[in-house]
Amino acid sequence: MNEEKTTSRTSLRNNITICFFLVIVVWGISTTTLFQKIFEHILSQAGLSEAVVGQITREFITFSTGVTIAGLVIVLFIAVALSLTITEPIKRLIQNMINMAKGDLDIKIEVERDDEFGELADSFSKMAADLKRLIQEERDVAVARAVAESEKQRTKELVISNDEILSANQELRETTAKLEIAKTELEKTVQERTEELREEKDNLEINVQERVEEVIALNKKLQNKIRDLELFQKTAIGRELKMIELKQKIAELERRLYGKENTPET
Amino acid sequence: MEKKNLFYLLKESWLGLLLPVLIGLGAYTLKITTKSSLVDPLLFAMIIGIIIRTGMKERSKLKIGILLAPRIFIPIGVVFYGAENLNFVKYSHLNPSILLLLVFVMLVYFSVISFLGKKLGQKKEITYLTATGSAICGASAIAIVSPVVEADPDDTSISLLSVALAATVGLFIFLPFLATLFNITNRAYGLLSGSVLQFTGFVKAAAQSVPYLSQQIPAKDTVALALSIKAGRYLGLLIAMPLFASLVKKKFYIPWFLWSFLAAGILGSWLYAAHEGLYLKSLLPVITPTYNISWAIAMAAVGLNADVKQLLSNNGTKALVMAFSGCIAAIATFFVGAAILHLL
Repeated sequence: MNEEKTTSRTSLRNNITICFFLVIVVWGISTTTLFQKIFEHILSQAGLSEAVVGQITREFITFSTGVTIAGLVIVLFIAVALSLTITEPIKRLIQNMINMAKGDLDIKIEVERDDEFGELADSFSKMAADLKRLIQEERDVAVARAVAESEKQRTKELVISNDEILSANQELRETTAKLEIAKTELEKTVQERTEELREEKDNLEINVQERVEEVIALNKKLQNKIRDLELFQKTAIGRELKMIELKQKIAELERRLYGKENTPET
Repeated sequence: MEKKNLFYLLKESWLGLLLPVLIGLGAYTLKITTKSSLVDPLLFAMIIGIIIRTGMKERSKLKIGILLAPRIFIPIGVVFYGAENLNFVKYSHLNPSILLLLVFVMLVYFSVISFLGKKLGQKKEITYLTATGSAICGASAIAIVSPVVEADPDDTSISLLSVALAATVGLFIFLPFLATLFNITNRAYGLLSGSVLQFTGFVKAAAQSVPYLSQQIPAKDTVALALSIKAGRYLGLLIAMPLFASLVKKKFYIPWFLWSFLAAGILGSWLYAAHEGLYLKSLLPVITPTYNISWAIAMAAVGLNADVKQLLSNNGTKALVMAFSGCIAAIATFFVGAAILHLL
């Protein structure tokens, strides 16, 4: 068997219904059996025949067991109805308690009963209202305290801020003075440097001009050289062409002189 | 090491084993001395166990033994029970119409209880045990099936008590009412009680005290007929055990109990057929008390481990509804079936 147990919830409705049921079962069985025996005995004592006793007893059994069955059904309905009148208001109360635990204090249980449940419902509603009022008062006090505390804190912070601003202002003045001095020195330095740069520029321009003139002169020389070379080239080529022409003529002459078989190669 | 563990286990559990043994023996002695069919030793042992447990405060020292008792004694009871009650020779003598009606009644029991169990959101273990106890054989069937479905002690006690209450109302109220209302014969009453009532003892009690019905068969034959019908219901265990075990394990599963039950039944049937005298005079007087005492001890342990408040729980109430509904549906099925098969 499984050693670990799992439990099921019980309920008032079950307890009431089962108790009523068991009572009526025990009562029904006991009375039916007992009265049947008594009935049989009485009928036997009355001197009636077995057949008649049997017939009457049979009818008695039908009647008594039928009544027991009817009683079981009726009692079950009564038990369920009775248990509902007890459990329903309790369930409503439980639900409202759960809602209250979640923070909903605007609850009022509508229980139109003049009995203890009605009293319980009224007391619970009153308790919820009182709780709500107390919580609200506590909240208001807490809020007022928090506001006062907050104001005090704010004033402290403003005083501190003011001191910090004054201190920062002083530092700013000192820094501004230092910046003015630095600016004056910087302007002076810039002035001197500008002068130096101007002088260098002038010198540079003069140098550049001289260099340019040199380059132009060199260029002219180069142009002249190129012209000379071209002339020389033309002359050289002309000579070369003349040489070729002369060689051709020599070859022709030799050919004429010695004939085709002895023409030397050119 | 294993011997040492066994010794340690026995040393820790002997006191917890002793209490259910005493209760079981006491319940069986009560049955013997009162000679009443209504005194079911299993049921009484469980009730005594519940009462004692309610009065006990500290029971941690007894817990090991109490939990061990069912594991030891239920298997023993299963074997001896099968040897006596799973009698295939007797089954072969049953009227086919009656057998058919019996199957329908059992089917209705299983169907109605299972359906209600699902609808009401009942624990599966309680549904299986209530169905088995109602359809087959009360406390014995519950004792056999409870380890198979891995039931808690509370599940077993809830099922058994619900079935017992339904059986009690059935025996004293429903059956006499319907029998006298429809004016059925004593034979039909024997069939009715054998088919519908949950406990063998209750079947015998009903058949013995037929409420002035017309005598279709001799009075002593009514009891024999009713008990033979009741015996036919034990065959249902051969289906219920593997079926519920498989449902619990979520795969096809045959518990080893079934093999020992079947083997014992085959052996018992053979002995009955081959050596009836020996079987009835020498073996049965040993077999019957053995399984009754074994299971009474097991049920006492169940009661000692059960929480009486659980009987009034939602599961307890649902089990009662299921047991009663099953019983009413089975009775209705019997009358309809018997009318169709001309058995009334």
